[in-house]
Amino acid sequence: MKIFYYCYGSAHSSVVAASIHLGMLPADRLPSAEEFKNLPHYDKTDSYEIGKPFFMGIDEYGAEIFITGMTGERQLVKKAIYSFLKNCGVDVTDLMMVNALKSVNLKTKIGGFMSRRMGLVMIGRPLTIKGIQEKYTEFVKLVENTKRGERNRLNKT
Amino acid sequence: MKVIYSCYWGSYLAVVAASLHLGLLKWDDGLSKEKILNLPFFGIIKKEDLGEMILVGTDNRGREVYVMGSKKSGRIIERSLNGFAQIYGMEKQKVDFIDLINCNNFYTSLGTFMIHKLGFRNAGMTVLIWGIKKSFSRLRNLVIKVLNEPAYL
Repeated sequence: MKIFYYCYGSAHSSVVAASIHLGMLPADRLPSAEEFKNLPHYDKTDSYEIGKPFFMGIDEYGAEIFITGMTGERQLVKKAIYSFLKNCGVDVTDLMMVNALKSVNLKTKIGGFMSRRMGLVMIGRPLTIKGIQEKYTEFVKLVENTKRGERNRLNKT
Repeated sequence: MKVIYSCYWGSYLAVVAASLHLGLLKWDDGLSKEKILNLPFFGIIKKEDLGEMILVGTDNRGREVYVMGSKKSGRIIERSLNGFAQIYGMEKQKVDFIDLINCNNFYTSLGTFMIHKLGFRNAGMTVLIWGIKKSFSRLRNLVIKVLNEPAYL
């Protein structure tokens, strides 16, 4: 099974969701700013990499976890991916696409824009972290729901 | 190997390029309005079909030629499809994604705006085809480049 967490630029929310999924971030407490900064790809993906899927790790059920960015055209990009896989004869029943952007607040959006688009990393990065910390429980819930869906597909209880 | 010609709607520049690739439109054709309007899928791809790969035909080297409407996200979709091809072990199933956004000009943009936003289909089509004629040499050069690339089957 393959699970793709997607967001705007694969730099913040998808990284956080995938990291919670893989146990790189805790589900039972609020992580520190340092823990976010140390995550692979966190606030690092450049504009020219948006769209490229990045491998994050393998979870406890053997599923491969990826992150990817789809900008503001998430429905369009998703449709293109499914259409491509279908045309290549790939069975997509073991593929899960999870929108991580819905857990993001304005602080993270502004911080992400400042850091990734304007190059103001010193100001933007802490703001993205502050925003994600405020909505952290929603990220944990998103991952719990994803894992529930994953277990259902794998017929595990 | 899959060749995907892509433009905003997938049914104008992309269809002309795919038709040139497949020989449905000859290099020295006069590009009359009637000829362009009769190309397969020309002007009939709808908003809900954006992002869908639509097979136009297979070329004489076995490459499947598709069109796709990708709005202004061609580069992102290209990276996505190449990434997914790699993840699913389809490196040999190489994707040649040709984003034709740079072949757009004032007339093609105005024509599609008139057709899709204002509903002036006939007038819009005349303007659009004028624009396609203006971009034809650039389109032709791009297609020639694709035709000369090695084909991985």
